[in-house]
Amino acid sequence: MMELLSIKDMPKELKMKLLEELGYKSDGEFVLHENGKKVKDEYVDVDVTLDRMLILPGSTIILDDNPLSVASYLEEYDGLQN
Amino acid sequence: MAFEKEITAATAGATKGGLEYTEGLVKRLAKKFRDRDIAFIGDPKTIDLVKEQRKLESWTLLSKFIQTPELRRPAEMGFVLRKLEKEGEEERLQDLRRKIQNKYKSKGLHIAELVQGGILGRYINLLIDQSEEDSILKERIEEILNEIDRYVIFVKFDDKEKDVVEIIVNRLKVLVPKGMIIFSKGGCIPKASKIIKKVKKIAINYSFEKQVNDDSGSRYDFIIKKDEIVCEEK
Repeated sequence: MMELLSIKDMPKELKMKLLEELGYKSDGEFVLHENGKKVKDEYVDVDVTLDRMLILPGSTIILDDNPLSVASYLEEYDGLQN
Repeated sequence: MAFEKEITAATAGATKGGLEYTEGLVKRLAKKFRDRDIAFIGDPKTIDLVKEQRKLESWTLLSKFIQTPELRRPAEMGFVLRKLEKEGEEERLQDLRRKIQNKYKSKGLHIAELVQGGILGRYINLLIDQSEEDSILKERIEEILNEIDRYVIFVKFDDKEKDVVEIIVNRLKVLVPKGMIIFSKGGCIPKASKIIKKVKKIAINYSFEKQVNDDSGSRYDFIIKKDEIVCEEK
């Protein structure tokens, strides 16, 4: 069963290290691809910020923390069953 | 140690090895993620909110009839908006409204509002009461959502009675929808009542059903097409 770990209160530095480990980075505010381009939430088309990011399986899906993106992800991947 | 505790300990410097420990922790988290054993979520309330609404009987009913993704997702978000409104979560509510509007434009937001206010649920129950077949119900429901800005009319304070009657009658005559919903609230209810009375005299091929919600001070008039088509001339 997949564990859901809330990173809402995770310190920024740790979030940045985690992103790097997963092949991304951050300028301290936004989540960036390795080439420096801002990561966009594929469902609502907003730039994802460090303080509102979700990192979900299905390769690596980085989304903004909002119900519309989460519902869209659940519909597409049928994931996050805990 | 659970990851939450490890993270707290690592950030408080309460672990042996300091930086090395933190790097090891990050590597373990990343490995678990790649193995699909862990997902990193934000506020747990977001996921709970979505999952909770999906368990509602009213969502089960709606989702049976709304399968087009562009209609289904805003409808689903209508339940979330209702919950956020009930809980007084104004900031989250406005943020979600903005995102629905950005993604699905005004039409999507109006669909979400129709569900948020419970209007769509009432409409569906009304259709079900008429013992429609599922395929016909689906067609009727998706039609009204696809053309929401034409088939759902909100009677406003500044509206002139005559103009609204004309708009409704013209749409019934020209577009021949399977249903229309006329919504009014508070001081606009007497005006809506007069409008419906006039439309009723003209649109003889439609049946009318009124529902009043005293709690919210709202009135809904559902205009539903009978088997026969064509409106009588004015």
